[in-house]
Amino acid sequence: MTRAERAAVHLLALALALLIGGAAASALTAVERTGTAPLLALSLPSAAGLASTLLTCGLLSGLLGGGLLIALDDCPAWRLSPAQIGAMRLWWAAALASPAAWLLDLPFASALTVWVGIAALILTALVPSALRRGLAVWRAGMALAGIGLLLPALLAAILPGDVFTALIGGVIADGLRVSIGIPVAAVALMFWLMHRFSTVTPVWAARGTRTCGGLIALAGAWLTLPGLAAFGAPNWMRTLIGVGGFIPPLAWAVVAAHTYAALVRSGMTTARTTHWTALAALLFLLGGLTGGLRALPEFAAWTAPALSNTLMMWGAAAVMIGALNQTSAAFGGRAARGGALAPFWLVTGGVLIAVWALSMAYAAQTALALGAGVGLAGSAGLIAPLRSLALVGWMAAVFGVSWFGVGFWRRPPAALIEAEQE
Amino acid sequence: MRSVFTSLLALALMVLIAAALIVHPRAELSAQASLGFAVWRAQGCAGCHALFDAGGGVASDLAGVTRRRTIENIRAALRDPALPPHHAGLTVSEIDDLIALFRWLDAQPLSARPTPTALAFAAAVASTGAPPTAALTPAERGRAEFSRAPGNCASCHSLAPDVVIVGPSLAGIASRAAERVPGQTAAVYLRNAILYPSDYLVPGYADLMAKNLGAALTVDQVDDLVAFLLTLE
Repeated sequence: MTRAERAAVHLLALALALLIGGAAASALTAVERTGTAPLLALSLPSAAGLASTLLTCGLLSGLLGGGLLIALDDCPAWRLSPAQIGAMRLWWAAALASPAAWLLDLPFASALTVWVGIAALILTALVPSALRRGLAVWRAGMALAGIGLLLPALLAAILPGDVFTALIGGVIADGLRVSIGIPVAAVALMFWLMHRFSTVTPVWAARGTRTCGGLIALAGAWLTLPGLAAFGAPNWMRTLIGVGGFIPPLAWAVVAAHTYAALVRSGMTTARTTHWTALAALLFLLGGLTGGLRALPEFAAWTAPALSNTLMMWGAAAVMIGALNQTSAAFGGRAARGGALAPFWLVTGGVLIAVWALSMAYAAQTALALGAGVGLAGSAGLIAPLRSLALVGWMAAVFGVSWFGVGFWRRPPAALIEAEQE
Repeated sequence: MRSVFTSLLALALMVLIAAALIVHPRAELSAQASLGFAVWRAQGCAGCHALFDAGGGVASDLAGVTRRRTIENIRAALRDPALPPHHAGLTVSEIDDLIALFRWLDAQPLSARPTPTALAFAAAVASTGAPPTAALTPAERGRAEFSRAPGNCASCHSLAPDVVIVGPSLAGIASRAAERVPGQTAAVYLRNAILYPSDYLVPGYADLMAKNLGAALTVDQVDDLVAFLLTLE
């Protein structure tokens, strides 16, 4: 196992650890929202910010590791240069410091995001150019995610007093990161995985990566538009956004169709990568569907603004876990199966239950407000069971990812152990 | 095939840039509001609060806050030590600057347009189907508010002496309110007790009261409730 291969596995393992933390922080946020633990809310006032930071750092770590795997697949002789090793260390420092600052509620926590973005961009740029076409899509996705992290700080530096540019820039930055950058990079990794676990040809995978990557980028732009429209879009633009509401679900349906084609040709693989890839396709499809509904004025008020983002993030997380599973299978027999099915079903059930409960809670509050004139305080008690159900879902997801993590760390790839012992 | 991805990606980015340019409002920021925006950024307010549905997502959207709350309420909220630590670290000048920013934002034409998230809840105020109450006195309106949503005060507070449901009985509160917090009149204490219930806890009672009444109730509803409570001597 080369140093670059070990670096890729370590990045994926770091991603898994951050993902477990992110899921746990999501569960803490759910506890806060149930209102049953006021002491927790006081001691950890930024659980939602912590969850978002952990998930972002975790996903970027996993996608960076995945990019290294794609590059290594194309250039097996690639060796890490001192600059690349330095960039890797910078990434580790940034990816660990940022969530730690949020956890301790340090005032400069949000400023560390800039370092996360810079480190991600440097590392992305230093991955060698390969002939494999998927790497270009991955690189574009990672670059947009990194720019999404840097854009707010950049605008603040260039236009320090421009409120509306800052606010609009914030919406675009979120869109670049969550709706375009991370999903595009995840789709590139997803197609690389398909080519690994399925009998689909590399040419088919490369073509699918480019077509789907482009469609997802366009869909991501459409998912971002409703946020921009809040700043006072003219009627024709609102109509245009509504008319194009079909683009996100259609784009993700195309990805799902490609995934299905690869899954039915999955052959004799013993890894669970197929399961995680199928889950990713499902979550992305649901994210596209709910995001598309937000573009339609008739549905906008009923669709939780954060629902699409949550589904997108967990879709990318499923791709990342699939990559870790595939890597475990590829690098050593002892972890070939990369965990049993129980963690997969726990994560699947947990995430789906949590997002369903949260969307129902939001719809119930909206219905009560519109139909019965019950305000937020009045309906808080009525939707408490749904909040509790969401908590159960997040706890199941935490348990599932942790179970997977324990399975991975107890039986890391054999080749990795041998390399560490040398 | 390379051009398919590049073309669609370029189209996506152009759509975003064009949309941003179309919706971008043009307005000059006043000097103090500009300072307020610097405070907004430096204190990381957008980490929790949204403005026009942008950012945050944890705490309330502050677009239109100067129409929902009085300036005194906003000032008190920004000084409230029970809220996240960022609030407590603000100086008096920084608070003034932030308030100038909110006032400037709410004076812009953009601020009059409903954001998607606010749409449903703003509409609810107009569609409650409640009978017209203009002819009633504030105390009479407050009496009605006391036992209905969104406050639902009566579900936790009894008006009968010494009857405890969840919170303390409010019988005779008008006589006691002025003595609760030194320097606060009965009206100020009652208003704070509704908007910031953690500020002062009646001995023997836990901090269980809803913390979001400031967002759920309008300024008029709070005024009416205070007027009603002041009649309970």
